[in-house]
Amino acid sequence: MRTEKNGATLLVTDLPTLTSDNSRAFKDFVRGALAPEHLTVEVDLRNTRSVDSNGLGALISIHKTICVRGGRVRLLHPSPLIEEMFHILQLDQIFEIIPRPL
Amino acid sequence: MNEVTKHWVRKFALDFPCELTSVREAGRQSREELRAAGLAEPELDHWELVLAEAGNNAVYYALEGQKHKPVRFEFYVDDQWVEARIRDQGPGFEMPEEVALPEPDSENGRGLFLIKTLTDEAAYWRGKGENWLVLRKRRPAREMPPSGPPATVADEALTEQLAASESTLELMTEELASAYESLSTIFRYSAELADQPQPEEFARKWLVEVCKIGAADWFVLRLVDENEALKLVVSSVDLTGREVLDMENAGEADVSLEIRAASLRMDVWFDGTLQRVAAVDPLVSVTGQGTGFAHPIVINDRLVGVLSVGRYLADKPFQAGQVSIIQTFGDFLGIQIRNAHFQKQQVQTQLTARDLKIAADIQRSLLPKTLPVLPGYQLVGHYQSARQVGGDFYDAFETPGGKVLMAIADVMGKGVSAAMFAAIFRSQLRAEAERERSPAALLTMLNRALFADLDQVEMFITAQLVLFNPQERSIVISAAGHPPMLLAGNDGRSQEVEQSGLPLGVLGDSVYTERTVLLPAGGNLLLFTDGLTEARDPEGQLLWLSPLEKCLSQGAKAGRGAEETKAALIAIVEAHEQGIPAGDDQTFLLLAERRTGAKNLNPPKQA
Repeated sequence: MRTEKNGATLLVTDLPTLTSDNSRAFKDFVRGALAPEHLTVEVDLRNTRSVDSNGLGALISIHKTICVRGGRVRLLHPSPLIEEMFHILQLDQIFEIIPRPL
Repeated sequence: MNEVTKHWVRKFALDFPCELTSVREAGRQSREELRAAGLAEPELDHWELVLAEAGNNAVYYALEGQKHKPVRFEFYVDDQWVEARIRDQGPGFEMPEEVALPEPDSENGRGLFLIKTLTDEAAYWRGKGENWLVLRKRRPAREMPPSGPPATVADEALTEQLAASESTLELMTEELASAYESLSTIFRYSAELADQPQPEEFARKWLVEVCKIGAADWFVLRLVDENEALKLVVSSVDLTGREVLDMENAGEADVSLEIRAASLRMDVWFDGTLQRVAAVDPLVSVTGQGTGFAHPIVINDRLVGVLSVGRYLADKPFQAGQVSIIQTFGDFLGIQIRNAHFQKQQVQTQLTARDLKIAADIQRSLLPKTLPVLPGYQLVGHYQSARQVGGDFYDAFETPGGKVLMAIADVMGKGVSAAMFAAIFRSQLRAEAERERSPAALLTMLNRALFADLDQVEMFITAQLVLFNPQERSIVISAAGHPPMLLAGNDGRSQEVEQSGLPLGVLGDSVYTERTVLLPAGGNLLLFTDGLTEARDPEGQLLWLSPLEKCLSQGAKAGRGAEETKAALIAIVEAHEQGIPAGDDQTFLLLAERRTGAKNLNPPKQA
């Protein structure tokens, strides 16, 4: 898990999974990296194999944190399965999802 | 990965430690096994996600003392379905029909929604110490292979597949046959219930069968009785002295597992660790330190009973599937027994109605069609039947010497038997009275004649006999446990004339006594049964004697005829009751002297 800071954006990368065994660590890690100037958190999911409901809970927690300051969470290039899961759970309404390039 | 024996093309199982960090690896391994079983990538994606959610839940909710036991995934795969069973050691939960999504910003509560969305069937079996989440998902239709002459390799593969399919079919047939056996047993017993006079016997046969299927050693079935207590219906163990459990008794609820199950409306488990209740609980004290559970049978939110089953050995707990079978069959049995009881009640109601009609017919036939005509007097009778026909009747007839014998009686009891005793009393009285006998002698004789029969059925008769001599105006009265006779004169005064004596049927050798009084000038004489004085108003207050006595004396003073006074007496009773149905028959016989002294003015009339 790594973060890159680019102006008002915090980018999170190297996330092989986002599941019950690392969701808490992910949440703490991102919150720890957030600076006052950050208004967007981008989570790069291009190499993420699996996300479960605990991982979703962590993303929602980050979403609530950033919303307080008028920011947003953007999910980059999730796999079709993960994208389908967000759709099933209607979470595509609260996260901005950037699809994986064809 | 362990192979397990089930009737599917491919089946396998996987145990993993009850830790969150193991769930993902278990899901990955399961994915590989499912891939080997022929599942396509999209199917594998869904199953991996479902297994992650189910596995997480199994770990999260495991009870503290159970976390040393592994979580288990079992899989059954054929061409059309994939079934996954996930065993957990948690407290269990009720699987909802529909699962709603939580609020968008809620961080929890999406796992079960995902599971139900990504599978076609989901069930949850609760058991002792373990539960099973059973998930099934239909497999996508596979494309047919291209036509053309088969290659050798393809031919071999096809032959192998065919053999596997045949094997599966055979095993599925076996499974179906086994299920059919259970079902046919149910249907056979259900059909037998219609011919079975004793539902208890039906329940016993049924439960023996259920115990075989569920591998239980013993059973106890209690149903809620009319007093809202749990009453023993059938049992394979001896519960003598513990046939009824009072659900209202808080102390009992504290120690009785069956009552606890009934109160909580949920299964209550017991095993060898329940030392505290072992000595006092009806089940545990009889069955010993085994294991089992008490299952409340609830139909339409109404508790019908409690079925308890168990095993004598505590180290052989029930499996979730067995529990599910016992619960289902127990509920079905409860419905059957309940219906059988309703039918029985209906038949009983019909029989009672028929019984009452016969009794009412007898009762009517006992009342005299006409009453004796006495010069200078008027004699009238009244009989008002209560809803449940009792044994009241009156009679009056002429005896040798120009006298009139008046009789009134109340057989203690209802229905046909009471009416039959009234009929016997009446016929014996009429037969014996043909010879000149005194009222006391008649009662003594009647008591001797009826005692054995009355004593056998624990019934008795209160009666009063009055012999009236119109010439002498004398009244000879004898009574057997009956209310007093009332007399009133035209001077407005009244009196109660009581004569002691035991009711008929109490002592076989009772000897009755009599006394003689004179009818006051312009007098009224009233014989009655206690249904009259014990008429109740809406608050339950009795009428008592005074209003009747007053009415009688006012009638005598005003020179009213017997019919007029009869109507006044009836009006008093009706006014008191205010429309409340009478609880007992109301009967009286009224003699009134005609003021004019005219002779033969009252023709024979209907009583």
